[in-house]
Amino acid sequence: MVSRFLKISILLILPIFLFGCGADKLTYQKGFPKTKTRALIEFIGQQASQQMHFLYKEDNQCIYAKIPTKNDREVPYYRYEDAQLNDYVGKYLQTKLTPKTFKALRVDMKENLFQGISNKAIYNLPQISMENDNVLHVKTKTNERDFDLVDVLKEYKVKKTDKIIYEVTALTDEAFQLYVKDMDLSKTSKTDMTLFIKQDLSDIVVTQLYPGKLDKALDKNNLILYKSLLTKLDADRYLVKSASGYRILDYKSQQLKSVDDNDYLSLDGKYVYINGNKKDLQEGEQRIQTIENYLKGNDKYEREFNLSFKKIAKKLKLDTSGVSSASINYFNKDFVVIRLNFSGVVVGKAGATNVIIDLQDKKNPTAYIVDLGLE
Amino acid sequence: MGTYGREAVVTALLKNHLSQADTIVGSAGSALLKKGFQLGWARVGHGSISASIDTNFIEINMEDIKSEVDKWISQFDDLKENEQRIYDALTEPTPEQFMRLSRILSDASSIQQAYFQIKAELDEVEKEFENTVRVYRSPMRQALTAATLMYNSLNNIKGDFSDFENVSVYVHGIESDGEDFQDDVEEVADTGDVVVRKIRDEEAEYYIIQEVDGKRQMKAYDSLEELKESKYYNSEGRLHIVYDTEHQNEHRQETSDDLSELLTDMGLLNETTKIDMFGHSYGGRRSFQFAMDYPDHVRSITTIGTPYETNTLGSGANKYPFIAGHIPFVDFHPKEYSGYLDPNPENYRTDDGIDHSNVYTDMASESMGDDINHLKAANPEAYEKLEEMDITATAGSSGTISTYNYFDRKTEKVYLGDHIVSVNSQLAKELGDLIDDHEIYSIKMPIAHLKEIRNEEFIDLVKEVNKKEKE
Repeated sequence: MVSRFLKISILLILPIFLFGCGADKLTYQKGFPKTKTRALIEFIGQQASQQMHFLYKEDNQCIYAKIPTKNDREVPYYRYEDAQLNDYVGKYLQTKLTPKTFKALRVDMKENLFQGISNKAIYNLPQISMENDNVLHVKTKTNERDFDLVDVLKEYKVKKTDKIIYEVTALTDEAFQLYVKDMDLSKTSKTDMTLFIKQDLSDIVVTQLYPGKLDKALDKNNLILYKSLLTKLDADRYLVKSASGYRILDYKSQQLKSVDDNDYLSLDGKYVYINGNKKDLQEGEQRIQTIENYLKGNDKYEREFNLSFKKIAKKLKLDTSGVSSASINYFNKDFVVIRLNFSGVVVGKAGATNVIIDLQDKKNPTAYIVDLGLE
Repeated sequence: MGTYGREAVVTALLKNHLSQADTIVGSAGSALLKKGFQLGWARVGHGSISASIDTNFIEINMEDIKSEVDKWISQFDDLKENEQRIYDALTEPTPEQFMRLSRILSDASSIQQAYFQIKAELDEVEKEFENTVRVYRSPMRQALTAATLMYNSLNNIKGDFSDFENVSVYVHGIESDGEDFQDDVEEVADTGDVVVRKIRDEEAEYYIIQEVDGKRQMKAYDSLEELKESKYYNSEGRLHIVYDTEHQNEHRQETSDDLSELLTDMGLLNETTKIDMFGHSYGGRRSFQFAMDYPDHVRSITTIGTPYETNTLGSGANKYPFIAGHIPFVDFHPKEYSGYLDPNPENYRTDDGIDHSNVYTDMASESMGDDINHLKAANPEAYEKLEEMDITATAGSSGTISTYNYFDRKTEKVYLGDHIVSVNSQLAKELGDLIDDHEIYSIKMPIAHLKEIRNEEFIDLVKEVNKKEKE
């Protein structure tokens, strides 16, 4: 009798071990996170730097290059200190956040957190301006030179009357990356170019970072001087920063890759949210891999968790027939922000919200339900 | 109440109040106000309101008038207290003195009741004023828009977006906002296009569709200044305006008036800018209304799921608002007020004494066919301009059924509606040749009406219309 009872118990308990131990269960709670954490600080920092490219962090200072506007004569650079950002995060925690107050804080941060950098040499930042006839004037700590883009980019048929947009997208002590877009090139051709330039201006590599067959200019030997701008993933693969996120330089397949269209690459290029970029993010089991495991195609997942739209609707007391759209607004290590739009039961809309999924506490991952107006 | 036995102190105060009432009525110049005062004052039993109404304009501050009547009520309180104090001070009051006090207290209380009645009459007058004003509100606003356009033209005043020649406006349906359309726009907009999201009760949001290293992005800008300073900003592209109505269930006329104000401010109601309207559900009616009001500026209308005919859901919710507002798990707001009253005596409802029209009264009482016929008779030029527009009415369909036609002796496939609006109504069959194109999209969802706006074929159509009209 005891033995039979034991067998039945094992049969009942077994499924819990088989199916219940994989994905983490999220705790759902309304409101914004209440404590400062690394991931939250990163997220808030990113909010203020929307028209900028992050270049590097050193001595508790973050350095950014702003995307030049029509009023900027040259590429503007900005910095802030960790402590200053930390103070701003405190403001977010003290404020009752709504789409309006969240935006107001973001705008305030943009205006007051960032300090312009006038002495560029101290931070190893190239001084870059566009002169007449699309001649790029570059001055670094060690050299000064003009690059006639009509000549440098002759392969791409750039003309001296063309309207050119340029942005500094990556930088190290040895080299920097310049994104150049010709607004007058035909829409049917590829209008975006990337220039790898040595800080001493002794070398320049011109290429394009569109996904597809690897450009000859991206050959390993050509990029040997620009290794500091690449992140090595394994013997054949490197991460390279483009103006729209990271790409994968795959020398084995001779391809410049993006992650699959359905997947979502983290802001730092190190993690992949599987199916995070699908037209409509689905509820249920969610999986995150490191970029290395993703490229290997294995089943090792960094994080797995269950996402329930029904529980979120219940927390918000919404009468809804389901989610009409769901998408990721922000994704970096252990931190995801999504947007959910709930349909009404028969017509119209029941409501919308952002959900901050904080995976930092491995034992108690939490979904914070708060509408920040991020769409 | 008779005036027999009325004490002199009461009569003196009443005389004073009657004089003030005459002054108020005379200076306001409103027969309606005079009638309200006369009705209330009749209970006072002291003379009558005789002020003449001979001014050419009406000027009423109802709050001031009510506070004046409150002052009269308070003066009678003071009178009662004063007379009581005098009586209490008497060492041996006579029966006559007691009777006098009783008469004053009773008379004053009755007069105060009459004054409260005057205030109630004033409330009615106020509501009637509001109801009347609402009928004229829309023509006034349209006249104001016309005057502003003329003023801007004469003084060469341009709005922030007046350089755009191609503009799309996306208008949502009932109980909703523009977020689903925003998702559509993210897919259909071309590189270089600008997107303005007008969010209810909030500041507008600005975006530019940018293609960077082969990746399409909808880049957000925090302000208009930031948007226009961007090197990616280019008015040769298309401007997409995803519009949230001010009230989610407002009548189409209110939307048309608000939208014209917004587009005037943006500098888009001009001779060169052409507007392509897109509407989902009741947003289609709203788009049509705008096209009827501003036919010189609209180039095309594309709708999906629009109830062009009167609609059962609208009628039901309008007729039984309590039930509609309390159906478990369904969140309807059939009583939602939006400041507009339609001249059609059937297209209104009264909530808390306020007459108003909204999406539910409109769908219950008016078909777009009737409106278009009225337009054709009253303003044939505007109708001709509607005929020149490219109008496409599309329908979401939850499936088909086969029916046998005994007359032709063959089986026919009949499309079902989207669970809320019939296919015939969505296709605007009653508008006849005015509709240039019809499409039906199959949507396999529990409630097709909710998903048709995100239907891939419809999104392709929006893209195609944007491209074709620009060319």
